[in-house]
Amino acid sequence: MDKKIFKIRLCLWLTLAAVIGCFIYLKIVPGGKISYKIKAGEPNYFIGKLTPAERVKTDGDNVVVKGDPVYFSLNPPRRFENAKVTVKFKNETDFPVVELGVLNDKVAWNYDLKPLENKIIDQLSLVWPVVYGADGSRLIQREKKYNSVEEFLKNLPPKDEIAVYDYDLKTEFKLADYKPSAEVKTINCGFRGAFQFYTYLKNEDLNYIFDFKDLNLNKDDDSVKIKVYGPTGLVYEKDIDDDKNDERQAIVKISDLPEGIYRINFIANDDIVTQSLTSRQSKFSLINKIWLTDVGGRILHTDSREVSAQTINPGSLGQIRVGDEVIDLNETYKQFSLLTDKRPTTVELPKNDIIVSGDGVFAFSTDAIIDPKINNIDRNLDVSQEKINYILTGYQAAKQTDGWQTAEAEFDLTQAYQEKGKFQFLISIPGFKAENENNGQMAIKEIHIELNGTSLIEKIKKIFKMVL
Amino acid sequence: MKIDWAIFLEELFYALTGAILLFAFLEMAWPGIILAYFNLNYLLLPWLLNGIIILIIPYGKQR
Repeated sequence: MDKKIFKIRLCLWLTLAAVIGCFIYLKIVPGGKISYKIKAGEPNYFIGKLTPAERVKTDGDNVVVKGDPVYFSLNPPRRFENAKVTVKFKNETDFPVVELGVLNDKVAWNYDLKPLENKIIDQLSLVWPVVYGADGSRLIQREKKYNSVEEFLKNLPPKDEIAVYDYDLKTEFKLADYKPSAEVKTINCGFRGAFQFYTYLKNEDLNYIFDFKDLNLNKDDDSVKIKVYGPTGLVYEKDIDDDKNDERQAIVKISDLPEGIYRINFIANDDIVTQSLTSRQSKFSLINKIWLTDVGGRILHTDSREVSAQTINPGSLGQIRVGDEVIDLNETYKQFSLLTDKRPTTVELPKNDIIVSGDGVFAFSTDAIIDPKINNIDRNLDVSQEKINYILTGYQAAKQTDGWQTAEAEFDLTQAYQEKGKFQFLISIPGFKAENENNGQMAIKEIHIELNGTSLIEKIKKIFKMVL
Repeated sequence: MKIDWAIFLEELFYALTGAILLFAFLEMAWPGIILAYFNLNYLLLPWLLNGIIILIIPYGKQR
């Protein structure tokens, strides 16, 4: 071969090899750390654009959010363990809370939400005394009584004086006058899709029989998962595979559980309708949201401050009585909400196939209501009216720069749901509806994501450890 | 110089062909490795132009 040709060929192919080497380096991220930053109006391969289109408007480099929630995706080059997401935004809406979340479970549409802004806490922390904990958490007190968060945790005041936000306060929940019931009850309501409820146990077995049918409206796998959480965390987990039978049953029976409140999470897609629930447990409170396909004239009782209703079925439109007021459900695929005047209150559903949701629990009798949740600082909580004296929070206020707020949130990506390599994130401003144009607007300027994972050296070391 | 230029274009054509094939293969094996940073259309255009130039250069002048 001609020497000249050889030199040209060598140069060109070495250049190509170097370019490929760079691409491989960027793909495998040998250091285990990489970050991506976009202007909200200029998405790239790694951080997708904010959607849906009807709730966002591009304004130069910024994106104006017109309704709650909006979504964006993260498409990392490889596996990472955690993500630190920093959002630069300006919340000029009437709504005090902005949260950022990552989708953890697609069947139950469960997001791991972290705070970006809470104006209620920001304002109260300016006027009420604040003390700090070793972990950076804050205790905001109406009148200074505690000198640290640790002191507060050792000597908790009555539960109804406390409100939390972004803080997992472990409190013991015991019902003093609870007695196990001897009667086996069956609830036939037709709960469609996923739902979760609280129940209470004392010297008895946890025993629930779920009879459900598969509508098979879509051809996806319709497997079901049941998880039971006790005072100390997850105590039981059961998978029920899709055996292609229309009628299926799951029995959850656990013995020797200590007294306390238990949360049962029935995770299923909307093809599954739980026709009946049979149990001896007398306490049964559905948490936050339920899709009822067979109400049967029953009245729901709730301790929610706000009740919402929605339907996808034109035949289910009508008026829903909530206490003394009425929700006029006159449009499909639209959520209608109402603030309750007293708690607990009743919800009378005139028809089936309505999704009812709220910030509390729903039960079929006032006796069955059981809600261990401590007050949460959200837009529906009136701190003065509820006589809240202590606010415990892990939330840190957003930083202010050039009229923009910058807040960050960390997520565990090992628990997050990934589809075709992508993670789905959500930015939520609870209560902010696109159809109400007088509620102000929120602008997003920048999204910055720092990803952390195993480095190449650590991975090689792990492999060597496994082999040797 | 004319001969060198023609050789270079021909060698460049081979290298660009190799790059397109390798990039396509890598993209199929590891989705996103190339397309995350580089649009392959930007490579196809010079490759096509290079091929056309090679074709219109008289055969005798190529080597």
